Amino acid sequence: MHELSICASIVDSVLEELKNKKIAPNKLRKCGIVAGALRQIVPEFLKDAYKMTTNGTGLEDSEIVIEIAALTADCPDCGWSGELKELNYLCPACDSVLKLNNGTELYLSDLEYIT
Amino acid sequence: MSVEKVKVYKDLMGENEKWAAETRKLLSGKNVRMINVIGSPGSGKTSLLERMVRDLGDKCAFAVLEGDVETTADADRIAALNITASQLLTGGACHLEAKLVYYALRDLPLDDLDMVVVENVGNLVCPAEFDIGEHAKIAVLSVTEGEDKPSKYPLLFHESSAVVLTKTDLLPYLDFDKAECLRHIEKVNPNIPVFEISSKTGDGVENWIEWVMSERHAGLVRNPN
Ligand SMILES: Nc1nc2c(ncn2[C@@H]2O[C@H](COP(=O)(O)OP(=O)(O)OP(=O)(O)O)[C@@H](O)[C@H]2O)c(=O)[nH]1
Ligand SMILES: [Mg+2]
Ligand SMILES: [Zn+2]
Repeated sequence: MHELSICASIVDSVLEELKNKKIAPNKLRKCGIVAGALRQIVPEFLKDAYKMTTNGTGLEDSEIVIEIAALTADCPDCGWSGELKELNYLCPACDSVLKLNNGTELYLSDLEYIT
Repeated sequence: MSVEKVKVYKDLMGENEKWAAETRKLLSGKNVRMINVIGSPGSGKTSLLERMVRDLGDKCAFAVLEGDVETTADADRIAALNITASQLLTGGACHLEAKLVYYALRDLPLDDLDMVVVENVGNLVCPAEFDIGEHAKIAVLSVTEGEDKPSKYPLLFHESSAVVLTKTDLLPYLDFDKAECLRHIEKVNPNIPVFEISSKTGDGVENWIEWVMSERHAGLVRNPN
């Protein structure tokens, strides 16, 4: 369900960026967002929410492209470094507490438009 | 006609973060702490608050903000104990956002308060996503929900400053494996304190209250950004 509120924030941000860049909303074809794996965003839900929110507005010809950023971590003790399939702070090599690099980011990354 | 692409880097939580920052400023100006209590529907959040009201007595002046989708039932339960309780109706949304909380706080007598306790909407996913300007998030998990919830809903347990494991009076009737549950919690948040309590019998409530009070005095800020 949080896809709907996040979508409202995406649409606001997209419109603001388009305005800053002097691009008419109906020229937009794609907006790209990056969501960290821990955000638990379901891309299909977010796509549907985007379609619903933009239907009948200047953005209705655009689609949203969602990239899920993997959760990665480093081990300060043994130097292990890699991607985590699920959140687990305990190092797969030595059981020490890992240092997480990302996984909670959520940002608008790019806009694709016609001229 | 050609297709062009521009890179932008715009934080999508920016608007919410702005209000959360306003809230922190408001609270620190009044020297009031705020905790954000999050858990599944029926996990025992309101019962925990009722216990706190009773056991804290006049050791701490607090007010309660009740996040609810539709009804005022929980706020009425708290108000019945002579504690200021405001209802925050989200109008269908499954979580509280910072702006709504900010305006509700402005209507509270902050000068007379030590602490504000927010009961978020019953949900393990969405409330964890939205910073409301709290000093600490508290994850409430009842023993009837199963051991693996921290792994299934990692963000909440990852972002929280403490876990309250509720309804421990029911343990004799369940196959709940506590050690396993603690392992799931450790995986997503290695050093988080876990308080095992029963709001029904009062078991363990004392330790929890001691932590809340020390957290208040320590000025421990977990989510400074
Ligand atoms: N046995 C037992 N039952 C409890 C305990 N705490 C809460 N309950 C029961 O669990 C049910 C739900 O409790 P609430 O405190 O209303 O739960 P909540 O998390 O506030 O629920 P929502 O606000 O609807 O999400 C009620 O029937 C309570 O009586 C406890 O420590 N032991
Ligand atoms: Mg409740
Ligand atoms: Zn290691």
